[in-house]
Amino acid sequence: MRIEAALVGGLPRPYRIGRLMSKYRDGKVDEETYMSRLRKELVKALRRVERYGVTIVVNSMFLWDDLFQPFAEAFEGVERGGLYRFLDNNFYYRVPIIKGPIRHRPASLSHFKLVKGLVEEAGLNLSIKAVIPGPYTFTLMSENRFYNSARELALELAEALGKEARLLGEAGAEFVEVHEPLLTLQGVQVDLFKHAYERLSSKVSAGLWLQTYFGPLEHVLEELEGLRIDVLGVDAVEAPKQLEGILGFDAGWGLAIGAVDSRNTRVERVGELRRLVQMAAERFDRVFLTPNSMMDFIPVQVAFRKLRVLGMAVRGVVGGG
Amino acid sequence: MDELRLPVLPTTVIGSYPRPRWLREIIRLWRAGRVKEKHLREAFDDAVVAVVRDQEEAGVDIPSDGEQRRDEMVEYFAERIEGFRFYGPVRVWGNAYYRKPAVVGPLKYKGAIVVEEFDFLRRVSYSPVVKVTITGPYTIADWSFNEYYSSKEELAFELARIINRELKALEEAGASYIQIDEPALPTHPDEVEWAVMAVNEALRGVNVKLGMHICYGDYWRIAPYFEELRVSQFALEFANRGFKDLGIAEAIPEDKELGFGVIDVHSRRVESVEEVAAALRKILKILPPQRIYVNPDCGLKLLPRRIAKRKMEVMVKATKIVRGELKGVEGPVLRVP
Repeated sequence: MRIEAALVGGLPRPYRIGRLMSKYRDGKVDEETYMSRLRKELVKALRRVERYGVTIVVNSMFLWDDLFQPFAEAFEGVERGGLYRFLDNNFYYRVPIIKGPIRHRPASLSHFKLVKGLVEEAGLNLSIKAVIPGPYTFTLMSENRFYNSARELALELAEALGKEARLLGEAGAEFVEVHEPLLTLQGVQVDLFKHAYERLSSKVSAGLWLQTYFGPLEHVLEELEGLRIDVLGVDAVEAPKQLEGILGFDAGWGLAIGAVDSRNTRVERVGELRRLVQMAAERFDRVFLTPNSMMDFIPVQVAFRKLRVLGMAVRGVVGGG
Repeated sequence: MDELRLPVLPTTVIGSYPRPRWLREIIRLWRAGRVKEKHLREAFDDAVVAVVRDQEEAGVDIPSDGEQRRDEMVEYFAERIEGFRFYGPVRVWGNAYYRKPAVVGPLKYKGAIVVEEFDFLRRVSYSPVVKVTITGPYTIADWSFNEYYSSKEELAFELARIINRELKALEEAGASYIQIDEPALPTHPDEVEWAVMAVNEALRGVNVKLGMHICYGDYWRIAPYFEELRVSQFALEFANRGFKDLGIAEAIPEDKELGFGVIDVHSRRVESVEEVAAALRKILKILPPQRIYVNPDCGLKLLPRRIAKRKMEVMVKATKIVRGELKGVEGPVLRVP
């Protein structure tokens, strides 16, 4: 039995780090000063997360502007375009623009190595999960100016993301967290998703953690059976009713319950979270308690208050923490 | 009420404008307790004079006060309505943040929020008509954390009652052109129906020219409600999206106008006069000139001031070129007190 508290997607970027990054990008702060302050802040956050009993962190931490940034900057054939709303949040991402054939170039590996190095130096007992956007969501949230069809683009993205995921696995990631929030919308193009996901998963040896958020997954649950999924991340805040169905669906995967609301400041009660974990632990061998998505949408101090509750909830369950 | 004829394709701004560097410094000192409140107020007034002057020099027909007193469009209102609390800044994109408020108790109108701003702007403006901006109830609700009301809908309607009081206070003070900022309106398709009702509740009984600004979203979700919304103008962002989606202009009812966004406020590249003029010629193939105002995509405040000013100059120059091609066409008429 494995029960742990884990991060999903990333932590909110502290305001002072945002200012530092702006200055660095404007050439007003040199690389050495920038990296030294960044490392200091990362260690501070990692220590705090560990102290609260969260045992799995992510390589993105607060380093990325948005889910697509490192990949849109690194992959050949992709550029970052104008701002667009990220799903239904008051949070905006730069739309990846596909301008030519996509070629993989390492995108997030340096972040993984940075976080891993800091964890090791500080002697922290944390496992690091690598985050990538899923090819289906990436395709539909991009502007395709090159490929003839969404399918062609999705498969090329899957190829590049698969190579990235393989590198991340080789670098020591136990899990690669694949973000596919668009699976929670109605009208999912199931074939498009499946083909792309299969292409990606065929390249990866690390565990695959399929992460969904901001809605229910029930309408595609059966379609996920047979895909290589080691952990399925579901949103139990915005789609609480789906939990019953998911708990009754045994496909051999571990379950990540997104039960802490990353879009509201109201802090959850430990008892309620603990009950959810206990319920899931009766059906699943591996249960992870997580925020329901990346935590960029709430202030830093509230995010940490929520992470403390997350850790407390897991510690109180036999086999947890 | 008098009638004022504007030039064809009137130029205006969406609202915010970069704060002068010295104002940012005074705000910093005030926060550190080293500058008195009255000196901060004086600095705000002086900053409004300065940014109005920038707009005058650029040739903008209808200026705003650049929202110099506002740190951010939601937090400014939340600070002045009872029932909100602030936990800390939240990132919106890149390294842009705002202090996202949380509703922790019943909301209450504490008194005029932007009337003084308007009054000062009118006194220092070179133009008989100025634009006042006010954040709409749905956007305040959507961009706040709701810890108190049973639903976002209930919260939005409560805010609508408060904003309505503020709009009526502005009307009484003599405002002739108010822009409701509702960028969140297209965000949640399943909420648009009641969101539009909440916005209309806020606009009920207000008899001045009302525009609505929406940006960075899917306009087609709002298009079915263009008729129903009690505004006469929709100011929309187009430059950021490379002037795609222009077809949305056809969905605007014939008795309403478009505020056409021609300047990308998130890019430091200053557009060329020719590209802005080309965009204007494109939109003129869809709408008659009498129904078009020209503005940047959104507030300019995140740009360096000199770039913001150059972008406004380009916008005005391009508009003048296209105006020249529209010989004999009269501009819209505005009722002013």
